[in-house]
Amino acid sequence: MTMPTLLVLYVLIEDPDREMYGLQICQTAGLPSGTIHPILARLEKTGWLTSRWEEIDTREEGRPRRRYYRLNPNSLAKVRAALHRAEPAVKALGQFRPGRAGGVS
Amino acid sequence: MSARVPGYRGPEVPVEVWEQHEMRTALASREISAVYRLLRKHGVSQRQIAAMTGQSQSEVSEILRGRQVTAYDLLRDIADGLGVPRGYMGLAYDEATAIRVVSPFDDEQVEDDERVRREFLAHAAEVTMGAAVNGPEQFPDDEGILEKPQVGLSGVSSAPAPRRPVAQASKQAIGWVSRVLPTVDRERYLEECLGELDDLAQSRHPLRVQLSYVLGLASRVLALRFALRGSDAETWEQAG
Repeated sequence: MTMPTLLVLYVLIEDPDREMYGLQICQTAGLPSGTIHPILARLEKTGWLTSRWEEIDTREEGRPRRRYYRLNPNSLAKVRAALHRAEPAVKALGQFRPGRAGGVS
Repeated sequence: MSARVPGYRGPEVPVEVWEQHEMRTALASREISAVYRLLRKHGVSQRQIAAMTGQSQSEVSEILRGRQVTAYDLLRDIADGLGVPRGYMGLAYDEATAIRVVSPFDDEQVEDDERVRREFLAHAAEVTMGAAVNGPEQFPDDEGILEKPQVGLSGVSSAPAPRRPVAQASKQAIGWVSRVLPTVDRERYLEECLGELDDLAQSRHPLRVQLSYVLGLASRVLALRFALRGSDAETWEQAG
């Protein structure tokens, strides 16, 4: 699992019942603007996420409807387990020091 | 414009001055020239006006002689400098999210299109080439970035301000980018992304944030295509 994906899951697991739209998740996770949709799409394909269109009268609200995402309640255990597995990697990341050009990859 | 002394507020203009009918009319139609003339009537000198708005005295005098002010940034600086409630000039300020631009006047829209195109392209060059093509002052704080997510704002919309339209250039770019996506998903992502752009258009630096968004999307659109087609999603995931 990639780091951006982890960040997205961290954001969503914080309040698993909460629905959020893409831009909101992206900003909360601190990811670069516009880069979140592949992650969401992949998680949705895997079944960890579900999404739906917001039900509003766009005329009345004066804005387009949003696409809302939330964790699939049936996948919560899997998501938690995945985050748990990723913990060592996340911790290790905290120990990186800026190094030579070319870095750590 | 840089003559403004940080923190200097100048003589406070009595609040009731802003409430007078003539003044309200001048503010509402953004006739800065008339606004300044009325201030002069109330004994505020050119020098004082300049100090408050951060303009040079000669600029103030030009405006007094009838020069039109149409640039949004300048209007905003003038409103803020003078201490005029922004709403009086149709420049709404929404503390819950960010500064929103409310433009009740159509002429600004016309001017917008050309300018949007130019600034957008200039900024594209700046972002992609790392060079400040139009001078750094064009996009002052690149850290201002994305205003807070507009969560639960629907309740605030009882007196909805007109929303700023998404820049034509962003729409076009999203259109191009979306062509990479599988046909079945294209429409959904077009709508979703245009919706997000619409959100961003309400922010303080609409062009810049729209551009970052479009660039971000473009940079990841192949990944999105892979994710949607699913077939090679696993290998892709490994590659990250």
